[in-house]
Amino acid sequence: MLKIENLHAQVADKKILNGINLKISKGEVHAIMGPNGSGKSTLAQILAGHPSYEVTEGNIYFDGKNLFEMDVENRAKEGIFMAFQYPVEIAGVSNSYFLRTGLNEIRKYHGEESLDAIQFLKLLREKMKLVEMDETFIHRPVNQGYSGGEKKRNEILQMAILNPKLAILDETDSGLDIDALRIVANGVNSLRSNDKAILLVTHYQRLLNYIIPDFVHVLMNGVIVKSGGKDLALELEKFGYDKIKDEVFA
Amino acid sequence: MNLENYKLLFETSQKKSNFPNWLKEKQNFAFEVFSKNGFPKITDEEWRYTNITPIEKTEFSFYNETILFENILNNYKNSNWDFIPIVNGLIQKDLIRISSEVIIETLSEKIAKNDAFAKSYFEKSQLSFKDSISNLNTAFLNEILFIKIPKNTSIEKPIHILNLQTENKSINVNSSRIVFLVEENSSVTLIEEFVSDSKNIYWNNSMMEIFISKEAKVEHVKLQNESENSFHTSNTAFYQDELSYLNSIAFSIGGKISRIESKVFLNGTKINSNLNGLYISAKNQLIDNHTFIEHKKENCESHELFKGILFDKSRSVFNGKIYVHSEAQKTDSKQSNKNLMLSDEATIDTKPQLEIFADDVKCTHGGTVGGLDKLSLFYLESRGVSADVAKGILTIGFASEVTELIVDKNIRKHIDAVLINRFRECIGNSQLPEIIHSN
Repeated sequence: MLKIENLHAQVADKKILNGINLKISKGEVHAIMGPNGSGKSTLAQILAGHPSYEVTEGNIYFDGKNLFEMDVENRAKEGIFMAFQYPVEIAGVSNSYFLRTGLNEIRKYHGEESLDAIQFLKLLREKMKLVEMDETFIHRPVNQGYSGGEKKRNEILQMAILNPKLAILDETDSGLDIDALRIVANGVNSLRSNDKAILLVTHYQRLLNYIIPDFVHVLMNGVIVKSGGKDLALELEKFGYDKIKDEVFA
Repeated sequence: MNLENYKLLFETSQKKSNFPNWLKEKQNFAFEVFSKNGFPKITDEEWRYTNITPIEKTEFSFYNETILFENILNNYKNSNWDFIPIVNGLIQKDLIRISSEVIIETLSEKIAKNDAFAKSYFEKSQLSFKDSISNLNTAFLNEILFIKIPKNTSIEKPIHILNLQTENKSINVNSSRIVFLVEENSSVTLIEEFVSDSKNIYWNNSMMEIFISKEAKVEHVKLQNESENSFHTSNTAFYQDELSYLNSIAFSIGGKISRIESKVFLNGTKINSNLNGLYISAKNQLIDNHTFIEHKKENCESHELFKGILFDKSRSVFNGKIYVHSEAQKTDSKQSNKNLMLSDEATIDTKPQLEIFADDVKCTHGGTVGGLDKLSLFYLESRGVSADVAKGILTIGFASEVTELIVDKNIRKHIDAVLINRFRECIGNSQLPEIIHSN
């Protein structure tokens, strides 16, 4: 589904990614872990098409298509979704209008009928239960005045509604208390299926107790230095990133 | 139009007028000041960014027949609001519909019954003889409407003052004036609306003065939505006594050239004053907002937020002066002017002017000029929203910070709807949502 080849990237002349190779197939859950500044969030942002990052080398293919030929909205339409680490507040527009507009654009792209307000509301209510959000959020402006946890749940709600093929979670666990973490994890787990893939970007192993990954990759200085199964995360939790650093850079 | 023609029109209007001599003398004085100084020039510091030569060059008539069809007015009436129609600059006294507690009188009526206030008003007025534009309003006044909210009265229904310009054969200048007296411990909400039912050329040169007594509260919304070929100059003054409250929000979206001047005089202590606005200029429009807030006594606060959205080759001006007298200790004054530039060819001139003569005050001001936030665009597009719609959504979001300052939900709804229509015209996108507010 996703193939990243020798990806190099920088932001404002500062090199961040130095040759990333990664393959994600349908049905798989991958976790990318790494210390602060390792480039893990940059990788997530580049997949979604953040305008501040410049790719200097390498390729990314999504379902065989060159990702760099798709603008941001087309990536969404093709089925890529990133839950933001810092969801953006959008004044003046309701959560429901915003999401319905996005969803209907995506449906249109796939030749499906638009959902009218009533159909959409039904879907929205159903998915809101999943992330335990109360109905007042339907009509509130997007993320404005939400707590940190509410913003993260709103990201998962959006993911559940847009139903992407590849969901990328950019440090969605940061700043969440244990209850919010459980709710977020439930939302993500409900998306797991044989034809979808999930890429978790996280600093801590904690999230991986709730969303069990198939593969764990350790990112340092802009390259993947080690890959393994879910046990690798436990190892990191126990010995820290320094041990791997010593192994790799010894 | 040359001075000779103005003089001719002035003499004609004076001949027709039934005003007493003392008032005619004042009008003569006002006309003389106008004759002497002429129209403001861009060499005047206060008019540096606003060239009104197109107004100066237009041939006007000052008195015109008003053919009024009540059914046209009905298009603008809101059944939840009290209604004061002014058509082509003429107050339609017979069509006023207002709550029984409100006392309405014209200047002529006040003169007829020897009400001393008719005279003393002109002593109190800071606007009547201020500059050429306001002197012209005084010179060509044919009536003033005085609206009094008596002591300890809370008027529930908003008062809708509709300034309607109908299709007209002549190019007229409207010199309307309204004076509000909000007495002690009273409260009122008013919405001033300027509209036209055609693409007429005309000049609305209006004036409003609002006296807000001790502990009184005023919510004021103004919507300047004039014809795209018209000129709009308006002078508004708010006089606030101790412990009074003002929340004024001015929306300027219409007209070819408009100059909106608002002045707030904080004459007592512990006053809360809010002067806000939103301007949206497009095509070749010029919209100039000039504000002045004067802190005279201690322990008052003033908040000022003006936002602008500029399209095409339009120009906007924001000039915000705050004057704090040495006596006005513990003043808390905030000013902010934010501009959203949606075209490389648009021009904004923004100028804060703080003159502070007290030492124990908190005064801040800030201004921004920029485009749409890239991260917000990215966020919306990453959810499948197309770039065009995303831009519309963010523009609405930018405006909503001002519309949500309107307390009355009906007025807010009305303004929101007018703004959305304006955005649809400016952005050329019919797919814009309703504005949603967080409060």
